[in-house]
Amino acid sequence: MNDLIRTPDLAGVSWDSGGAALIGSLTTIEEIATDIKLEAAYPGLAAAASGLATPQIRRMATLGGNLAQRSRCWYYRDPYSHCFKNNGSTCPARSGNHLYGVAFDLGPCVAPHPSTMAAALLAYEARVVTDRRDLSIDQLLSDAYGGATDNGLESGEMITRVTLPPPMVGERALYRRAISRAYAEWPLVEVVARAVLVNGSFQFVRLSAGGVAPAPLRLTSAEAAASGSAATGATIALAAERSISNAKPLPMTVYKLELLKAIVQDLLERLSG
Amino acid sequence: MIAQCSNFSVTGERTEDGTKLAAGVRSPLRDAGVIGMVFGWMFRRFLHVAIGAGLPSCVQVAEVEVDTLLGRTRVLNVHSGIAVGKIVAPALARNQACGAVIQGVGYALYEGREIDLGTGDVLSAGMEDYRIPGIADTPLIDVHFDEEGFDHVLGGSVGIGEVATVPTAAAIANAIRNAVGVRPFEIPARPDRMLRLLNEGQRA
Repeated sequence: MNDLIRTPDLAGVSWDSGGAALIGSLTTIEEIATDIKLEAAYPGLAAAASGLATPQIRRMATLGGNLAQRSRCWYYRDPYSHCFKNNGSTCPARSGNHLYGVAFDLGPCVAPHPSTMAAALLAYEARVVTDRRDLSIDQLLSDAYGGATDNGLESGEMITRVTLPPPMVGERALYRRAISRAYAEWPLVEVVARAVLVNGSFQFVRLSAGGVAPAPLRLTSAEAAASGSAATGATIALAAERSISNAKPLPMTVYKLELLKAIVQDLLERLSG
Repeated sequence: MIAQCSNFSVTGERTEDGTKLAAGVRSPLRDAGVIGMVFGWMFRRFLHVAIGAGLPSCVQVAEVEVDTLLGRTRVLNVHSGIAVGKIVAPALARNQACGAVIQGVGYALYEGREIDLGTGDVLSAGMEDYRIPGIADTPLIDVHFDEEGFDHVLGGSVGIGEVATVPTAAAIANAIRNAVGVRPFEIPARPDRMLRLLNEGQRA
């Protein structure tokens, strides 16, 4: 275990000459949520940061910590249970109570990835730089599909910063999170949507969903359904329907598909309006 | 048992809760003769209720918003009418009533004892998974005390307890029915349950 002393080069946001942001891994979630320049360039990222956890946690939690956090599965955190992530060879949630489990059952573990920031950074095609490598969000988190871990960091490896490509011209972005309380809950489903509209048509659409799969998921079928089409109710309804096209819900998580469709529909409608 | 321990001395014994009536007031059952005595004994023996001692009661009206897209219910206002007799400490009584309403909101919408059906293991065994209302989930709470009707009780009032928790979940469920036309019979009325009910309501 390393004691990460806050150092200037790991905290804070800097910008390169091309308008791309570099966010240090020790930057707090609150700093990301309230940075005016970040919010202007990457509104989906700032909104996602504002939506997670509580004010106290946002003030203390860091971007690196959020990306590398462990599963919130109640079996994984139960001292008397064993699972793929905890010296076991089964997933007790799969046969047991998986009320908050995945709706895209793509691995042996049925816990969704807990990182909201990862879902937002996936939509922005960010790169995660560690002290050893430079990874995409998919590369960082794809090991979660194996079930034994939540990320692909090696022992002792540390995320140092996250880099985002410059925003596209005219792009807008929104974030929405389905939870039962007003705040302070792990998302049932969350979506970051980015879009560029030209003459009433979706020229570019990026949709990334959290809370539904072992790692944050790009909704590529929904993106394809909307991209290049007129931003009409029919297009948006088709994209919402396609957002669940590869879903494999568990018995207790069918409701998440409805939430996912509803959020995609809502975000695309608001982006087109 | 405690009284037999050498370290303890019994200085007085508490009588049955609420049996002491104000001076000059007789229990209505005692005036009803033998049948009244039998009923009085049965109520005390089996229900632990002393007739005529004054029972606390509460009536509530809840106002809610239901997000029919994502299934979330938000309680906006809860109006409470509470009858526990004369209010001795108004600030404390109001505080207790407000706390009880917030507890009732949690009971109605968030608090679920999730278990593993195979082992009986309680999975929602911490504040992270056993969810109670936060400040943003707390409605505006309006409390009215109706102080009449407890003159026969010694001291003119009874304990308020959590009487304001009793009707909250039912009032919220009724408000949901009034708002969106479907009545939740299961609590907590979580988003997944509300979406299922709304879909069933649409099909019906």
